[in-house]
Amino acid sequence: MRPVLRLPPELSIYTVREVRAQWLDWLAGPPAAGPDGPGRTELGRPEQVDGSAVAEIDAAGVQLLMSLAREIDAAGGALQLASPSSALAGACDVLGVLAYLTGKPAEANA
Amino acid sequence: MNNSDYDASFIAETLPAFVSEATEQTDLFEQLLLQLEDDPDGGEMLDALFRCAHTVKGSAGIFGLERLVDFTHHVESLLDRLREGELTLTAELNTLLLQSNDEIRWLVNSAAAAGDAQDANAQSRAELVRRLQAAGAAARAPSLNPAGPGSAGTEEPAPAVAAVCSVSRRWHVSAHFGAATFRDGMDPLAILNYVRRMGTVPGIACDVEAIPPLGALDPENCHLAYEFSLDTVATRAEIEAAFSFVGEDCRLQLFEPQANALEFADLIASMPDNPRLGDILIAAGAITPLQLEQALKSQSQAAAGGNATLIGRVLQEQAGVDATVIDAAVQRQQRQRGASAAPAEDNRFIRVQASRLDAVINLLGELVIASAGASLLARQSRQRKQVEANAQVGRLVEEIRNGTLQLRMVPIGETFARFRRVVRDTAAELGKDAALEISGGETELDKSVVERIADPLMHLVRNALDHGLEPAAERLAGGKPAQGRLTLSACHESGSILIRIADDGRGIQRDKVLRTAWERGLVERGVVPTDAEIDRLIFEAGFSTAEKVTNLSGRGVGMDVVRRNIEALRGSITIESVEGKGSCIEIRLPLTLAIIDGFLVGVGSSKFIFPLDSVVEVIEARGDPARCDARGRRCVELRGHVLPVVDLRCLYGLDGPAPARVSTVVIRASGQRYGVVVDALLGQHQTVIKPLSRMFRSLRGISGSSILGNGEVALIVDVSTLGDLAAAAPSGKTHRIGEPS
Repeated sequence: MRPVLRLPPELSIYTVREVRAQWLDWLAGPPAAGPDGPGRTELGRPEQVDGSAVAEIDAAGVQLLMSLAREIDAAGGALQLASPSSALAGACDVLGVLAYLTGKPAEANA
Repeated sequence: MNNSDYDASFIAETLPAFVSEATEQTDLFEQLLLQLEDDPDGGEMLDALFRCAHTVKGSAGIFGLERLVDFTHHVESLLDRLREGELTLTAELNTLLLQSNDEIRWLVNSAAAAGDAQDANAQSRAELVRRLQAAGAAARAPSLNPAGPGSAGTEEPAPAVAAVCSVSRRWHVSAHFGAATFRDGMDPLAILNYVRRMGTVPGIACDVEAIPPLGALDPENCHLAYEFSLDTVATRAEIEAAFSFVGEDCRLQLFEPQANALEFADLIASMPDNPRLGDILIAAGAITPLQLEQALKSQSQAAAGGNATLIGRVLQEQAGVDATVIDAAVQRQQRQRGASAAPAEDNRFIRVQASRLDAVINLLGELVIASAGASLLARQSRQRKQVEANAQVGRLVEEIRNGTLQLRMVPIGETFARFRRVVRDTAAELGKDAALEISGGETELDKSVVERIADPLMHLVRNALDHGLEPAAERLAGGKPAQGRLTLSACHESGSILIRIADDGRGIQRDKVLRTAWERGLVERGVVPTDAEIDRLIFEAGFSTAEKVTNLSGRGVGMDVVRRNIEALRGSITIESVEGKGSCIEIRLPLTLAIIDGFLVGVGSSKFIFPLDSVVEVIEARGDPARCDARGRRCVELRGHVLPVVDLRCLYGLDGPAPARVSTVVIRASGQRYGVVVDALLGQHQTVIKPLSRMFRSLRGISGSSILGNGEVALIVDVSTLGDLAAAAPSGKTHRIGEPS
């Protein structure tokens, strides 16, 4: 079973290339254990992503996160952003993708 | 090739382009600053300044020039404060910015020279940064203080603008960032943050589908596209300004608050590559599904009738949209269609290596000669059709020649503008007050001439400031305004360019010059030349009258080097001076160093070429050498005026008897008119200028040679020195008198 993905402290244009490679490795690992047991892909099964460590983020970083969500989407899963740091949540809100990532409606200036 | 190899070769290839672009930006920066000094209200100039700094910073970021990015960022922050009106541009700030610009320039050049190894300026730069920050800090006002879109990060959002003076209106903004946005150092997050501070954003929709999944993503390409509404009191220009730094790269459309569904349909039609746009608009709350359907229907009816412009017209009629808005939109569409990858700038200018252009011009010279040869043969063959065909070829060659030489022409204004800074700094250093006036900056001349004239001009300008202009006190005592005036002007005059450097300073002090000349043995003691000849002495080698040698001029290596440089360009330099009133130095230069339109004449078996622009008219004369003096000179009357005439046969001692009828070619050069007696007029000739060999350099009146179609050599007449020969007093150049006067 693959571990919960912890987002790095810096998610910006300077690190996106490197982080993308790490995430692709992470994706290549076994999928997370869902309620239906490991190893099976099922529609809408949440993939937890821990965003608590993110301190520095820019639009390129948010885009990368969105891209990860799209990838997981395409594989039939659903990315779920858990405990985003205030920087991350703020950036996602400004960029209009907070609801998409957390699965919750956006709160004004979270 | 692995990634780092690729990066290294990419940098090696593109760094020169970066340096030349950054140099242009810094030059522009400097000019803008100096203009702002004269005209402090130039708001758009501040924007342009900011853009310069930002462009340099952005491209420096691509090359990883950390120092440059860091430093430029500080400059940028200060400029931003100025732009926001929190600071006013004082002379002090201007100086600081000029110094900072110098530092940027140094950093750019050091990036080109030695990579990133040496940093000799670290200390002075730190000091500049400290001053920039201090200047910026002074401006931190509690007012609305949005960080520029360039600044990174999510800062504390400022309170929304209170709608005090006007009512907040709802705009719809459609912003599709270009792929290069991140790489250009822009952050859409900062831009949207900034936009949010202009008002409130009730709904924003990101085009999620446009972002590729992780496996297919190039994370440094930007795929972000937004549709959002914005409630704000800001004007269209203000909203657009928020996006100005991604301008070329970003598809931005703003819809008036009263925008109707039809316009959104137009937006959708303008982005055929984005079929999801309709859904996004609905998601952003800009439009209801029903409205969209209706609009698309009515648009397809309109589209059946014609092109985008027509749709625009339909829109205008139905919705009363401002025509200019539509025009702008249509233009934007056309531009996007035309330039798929390259930014619009590249469509207007092509950068070409100078060496390639030179190669073309060299070949063109050969082509001109070859074509002259062919048409000569055709004429000898007496076949009318062949002559006509050759004439046609000749015309085309001439057009190509003009067009190609035009490519090398650049306005001299750029060179002149550089002197604003020189005058400013030099005057400050000398404790003088001087204003520089520039006119005729649009005058064009060959790029190679421009490059080679810059240094001599620089010297002359400094010289005028140092020696010409008096200190303010002395000026006031002499009844002049305290501020000295220096004028740089350029104009075209009969095939050459005339550059004038005039000052209203003390002029040449001839007694002092003469004394020095006597001391240095340049003039025999006791000999008093004419005023004009004394003036000319300052161009002699090893001559300097400056009482104290400053670091600007007065080292005695100046003016003769200037003269030599200008003569090497087939130019001439003269000085006119009135003591106490000022001096005026005139530099005459040929427009181009390569090919001219010539007027071919024959004297005996020799051929001469006059630059066609200098030929005024041709009159008939009787060949009567008896009336000439020893150097072939005499005067004739031309319509009531005396015209000095020089006979080339006598002057150069050419063989062969003069024919019974000769012609006099009337030449205008250096402000004088004179005639030249020749045997035969051979007509217009495209002349490829070849230099004279070293042996003939000293020949007076001849500036070069050219090869004719039949392989003969013709000599190109230097009309201004020949004019001096014609006009000089018959008894010799200097009045030599026995005792000092």
